[in-house]
Amino acid sequence: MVLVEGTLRLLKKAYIISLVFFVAALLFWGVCYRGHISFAEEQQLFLFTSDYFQTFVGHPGGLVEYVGAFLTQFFFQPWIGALIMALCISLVQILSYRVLVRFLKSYWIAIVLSIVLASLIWLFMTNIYALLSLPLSLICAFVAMILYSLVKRYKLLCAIIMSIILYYIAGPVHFLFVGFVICKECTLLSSVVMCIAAVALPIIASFLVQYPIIELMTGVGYQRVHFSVQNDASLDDEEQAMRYSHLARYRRWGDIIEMAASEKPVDLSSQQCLNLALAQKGVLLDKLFEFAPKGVSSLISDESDCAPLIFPVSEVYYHIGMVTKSEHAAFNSQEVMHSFSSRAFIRMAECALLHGEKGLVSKYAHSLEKTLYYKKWAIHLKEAVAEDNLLSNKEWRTIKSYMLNETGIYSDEHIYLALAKIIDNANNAQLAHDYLVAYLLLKCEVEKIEMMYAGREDVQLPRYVQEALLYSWMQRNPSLERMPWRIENSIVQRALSFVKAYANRISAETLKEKYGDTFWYYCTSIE
Amino acid sequence: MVRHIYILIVLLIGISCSAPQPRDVVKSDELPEIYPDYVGVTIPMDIAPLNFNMENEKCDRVVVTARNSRQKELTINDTYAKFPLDKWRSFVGESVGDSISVQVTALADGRWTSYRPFMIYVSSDSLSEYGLTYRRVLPTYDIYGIKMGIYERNLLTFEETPIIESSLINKQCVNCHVPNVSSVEDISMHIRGENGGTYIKHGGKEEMLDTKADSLLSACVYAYWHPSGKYIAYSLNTTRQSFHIGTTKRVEVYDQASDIIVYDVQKHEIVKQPVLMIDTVFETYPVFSPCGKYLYYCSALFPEDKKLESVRYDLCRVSFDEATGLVGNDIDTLVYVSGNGTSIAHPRPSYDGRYLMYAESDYGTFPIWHDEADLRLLDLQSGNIDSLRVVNSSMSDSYHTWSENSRWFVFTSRRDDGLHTRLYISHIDEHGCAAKPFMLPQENPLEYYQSLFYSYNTPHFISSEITSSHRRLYGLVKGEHKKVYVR
Repeated sequence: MVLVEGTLRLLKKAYIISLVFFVAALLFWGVCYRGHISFAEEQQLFLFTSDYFQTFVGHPGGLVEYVGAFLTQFFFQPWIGALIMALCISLVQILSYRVLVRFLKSYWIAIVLSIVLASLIWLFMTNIYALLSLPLSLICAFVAMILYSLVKRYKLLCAIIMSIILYYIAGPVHFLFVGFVICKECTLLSSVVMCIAAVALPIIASFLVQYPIIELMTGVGYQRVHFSVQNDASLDDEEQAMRYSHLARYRRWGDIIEMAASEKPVDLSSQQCLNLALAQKGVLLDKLFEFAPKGVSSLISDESDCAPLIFPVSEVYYHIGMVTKSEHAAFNSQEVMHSFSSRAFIRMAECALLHGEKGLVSKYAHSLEKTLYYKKWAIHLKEAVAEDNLLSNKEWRTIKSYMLNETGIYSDEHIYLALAKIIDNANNAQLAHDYLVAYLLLKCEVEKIEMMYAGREDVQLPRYVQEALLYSWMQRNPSLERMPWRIENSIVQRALSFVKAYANRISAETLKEKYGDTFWYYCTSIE
Repeated sequence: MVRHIYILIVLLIGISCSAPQPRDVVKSDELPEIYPDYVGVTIPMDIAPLNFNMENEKCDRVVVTARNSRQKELTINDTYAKFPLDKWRSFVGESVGDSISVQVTALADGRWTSYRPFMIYVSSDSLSEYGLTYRRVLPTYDIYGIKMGIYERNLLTFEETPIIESSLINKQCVNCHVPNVSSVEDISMHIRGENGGTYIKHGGKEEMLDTKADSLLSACVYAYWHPSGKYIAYSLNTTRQSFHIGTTKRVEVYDQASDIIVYDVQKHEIVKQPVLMIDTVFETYPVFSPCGKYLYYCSALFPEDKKLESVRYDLCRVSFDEATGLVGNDIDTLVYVSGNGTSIAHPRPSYDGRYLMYAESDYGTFPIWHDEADLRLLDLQSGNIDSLRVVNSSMSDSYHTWSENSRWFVFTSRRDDGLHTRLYISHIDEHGCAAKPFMLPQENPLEYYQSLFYSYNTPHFISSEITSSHRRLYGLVKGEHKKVYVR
């Protein structure tokens, strides 16, 4: 009893609850959703220039958007990002509590409502399109309410002026402020005047700026995209895809493979990252089917289960030497998210550099130089251009040595022709070679694989190439005698047991459980 | 005493604020490397200051002295060549028909260097237009999420105003806005996507048209006004895009089919033109002659091998009857290039009827993505074709339009960085000689163009400010679109 009373007494201290809420938010964003944090940062390009500032100040809510973008740049360091996110959400809770407790005169209702509100913002921020400007706008609105409570004279005039300023700074959260004033004053005059002011502001703004009235009423920049975008991925898939994408960005191939061991990639873009990592480590053809690929799209595809997460394909194109396609995908990733992005800029600069487009390289470097976190990289790039030493970096040099350098149009279905061209042109295009073989494996085109490996009888072949060659041989020959390739005995034994199980029509689940990681299972299950 | 202190303070402030003056100047025989390249360009008197920067990033200061033959001088001392608007205007006004010698002395790495003076020619032909309209769009290809728009730019100043931005209409694509010559009273403009249609302003009326019809290939695309303002010739195109996979050649825009129709503005009627709607022929880019009696267009046969690289357009002409809105049956091929392995696009006759300018590339209908694309000038009297060497560059040069007096033309070029198209204006004298073009001036050009990731396209001269409000446009887009009849 004493313990319960003590706990309740403790909980009655609002700051304890706020502190718990803050710590929970910090751990959530720092541990569980750090992929979202990194994603938010790479989807914007915050520049320390007056022109960049001016792109915000021209519309209602622009100032808060600018502050949001300023803070989001620090998401480059995920724990700092999590801290900022947790602070913003917690401030919404604290300030809303301060406002509600005065109104409701009930501690518990005020604390519950403030936590509900802050939790809704928390939930909103898990949206892939969410921007920090919404919690910041709410903070502004609650601060305005607290300040208004201090006003003793000319209250109506002050309320109108504060509404105008609030609308300009933070957008249509002024409706909340107006609601607060109406509830607080409870007079007909103030209600009518404040309602007119609230509605008039977006209408007046619609004459001055090129946004539809509905956006001026609901907020121009609280999220990147205003209308629902088809998104088949769940929230967890998104978070996973963002983590894979982030690791691929920084070439952390080992970490990707390690992550896949505990968390199988679900989304197409995650699978693309994993396959790229496997290829970079030289084990793509040994591990391809261990992670349940979804066809050739798991290798290369301009599509994604989650529309905004299309950047990984740019990584794939870049590393295998299709630089123009990589640039195209980077362009599109910006358009999908409706904003310039630091990651896309870096990629486009790299593509321009590999193409020898010095003017373009300087242009991207010029902008990146005005950022906080990419300045150093941009200066390095600029120096490389100035010294005419564009290929000072090992990765650029390697890709340049095998990248596709011919014009040509290939549809997605014929991408393997482009891969073949890269292999034909350069003898060090191992990545393109592995991708081509993986492509053929995923298409179950075993005859083409046989052709590729004709004359390579004495070589130790990758696991899935062995499985494919065996699969093909067994379909055309009664025995394994005179089989030209060296096939490991364990693979032969497993193939024989698979054939037996398949012929005996064992249940699909058992088949998948026992042979789900084999080429044979993949081919027979897609037939 | 106090007075003396004030004077001393003022003097100290004056000394500390005065710009550093050139000292121990080293003379160079070389021309200064400036951005944009204004060396030897010809300009009209009615143009914003030709501010420029030194290409050398280490340059801290420039002293620029512009001098005309009447010994009038305009000197500036700044971090870049930034001419005051009013002084520039009066100085250039006093230099009409004259040349301006520009002497640049620059401070870099603590050393002053004085470069060989260069000339800027001020033409006696005015560019009386108020300004330009153009679309600014990212040079991306198939998704439009980042804001784009159509803007107008006052040529006397650096002022740019949006006419319509995609933020207003759910990020939809806005394109192909065409005034009648340079009149802002007759305008055609398309909006694509949901609620898309063709905006027409004519005779003080604004309306939004739905130009799709079952009997037509597509909605209206490339537009050109008949000089009477009664008709607009449109092409109908089923346009597709493909993407190159290697090299800096990025996109291929092509038609699977195309026709030409004429729209009767007063009757809201599309007049089908059987001669220009042949299934085995691509017909596109229709333009009326200034007298209104002819229609020029580009025409290509469907290639037997069905390859993009085999589609090549020639320049054709057909008569036009203003009374019926129909073209004649006899087609003249004015310029035949398809047999020589090139292709013509964007024909634009000068308004004095003397010339016709077009873009020529290796193949296809979209020279904007072809580095080899260059402008050509056809003399309609002599039939001579000028390759416009002084105008063209090694990158794509295309989409040009004429000023009303036919002495200036504006065009787009990728010469600046290879990817983003910029606007250039060039002069043509009474003998048809083109002058070196100059890039559209900006207040701080290097900073502006380096930071601008948009491309300029479809530029047009306009005689005055466009008065349509964006709210009116929004209302028209969201409202019911007028259905056109097809004859």
